[in-house]
Amino acid sequence: MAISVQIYSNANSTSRTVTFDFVGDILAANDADFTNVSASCNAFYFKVTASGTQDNGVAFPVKLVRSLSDLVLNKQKQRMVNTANAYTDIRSMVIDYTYDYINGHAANLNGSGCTYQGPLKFR
Amino acid sequence: MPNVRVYNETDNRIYTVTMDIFTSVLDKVHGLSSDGANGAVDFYMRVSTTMRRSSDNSALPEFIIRDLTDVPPGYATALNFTELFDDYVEYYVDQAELGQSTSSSSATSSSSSMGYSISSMSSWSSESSSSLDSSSSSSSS
Repeated sequence: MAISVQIYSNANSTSRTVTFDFVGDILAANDADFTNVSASCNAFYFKVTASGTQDNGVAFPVKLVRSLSDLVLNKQKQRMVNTANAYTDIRSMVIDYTYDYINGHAANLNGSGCTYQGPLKFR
Repeated sequence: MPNVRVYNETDNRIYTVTMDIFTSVLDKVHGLSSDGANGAVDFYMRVSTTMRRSSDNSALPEFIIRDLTDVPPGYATALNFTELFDDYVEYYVDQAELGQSTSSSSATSSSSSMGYSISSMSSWSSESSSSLDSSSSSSSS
């Protein structure tokens, strides 16, 4: 069961959703683990997706959150506040990721090295 | 919703450990104000198992997880969600005493010392859910 945060645009009378799913899979990016008998190839993580696109029509990338230190801006910084501290709990992680989808962010925001991401398109 | 299936050789049963994300109002538990500006909606995970204690067949507890310090009793803070889930699987297997044979003869064999195996993992599909449900109901009967 995933949870979906619904965002309603009063100006456009439309809704979008940001979905957080907790999954367990073998990640292709973990291929080095296959040669390491002491490591588990299975990973458990949050998979974050958004309905709709960025305001420039570009689809949002799927985001993986494997730890509370996987911050939304290039894994380096939180979005709502300029800090590199890990999220204090799952609730604050969900809120910060949702905020970032709604508002987008400039390239290298807060010195995170992130690339530009447009805000959620409602119209 | 990931499920880890734990196969126990001793009783030839498959048990599951499930961890999933939920959202609800938990202000009385979490200490949030029900009418505060930040709202009282919480996002958290719940982990549970179909395993039962071998000593008295009682159910093992369900845990609420809000951060990586919400680990099983006696465990250190997890580095990530994979480690956290692995810790809970280990905790449940230990509490259920899976793989611990009462037979002295089997206890000396190499296979009985590792009498359980985490056999597979599945997520989401209704097909796997239904099969897990059936396995859990059979295991609890």
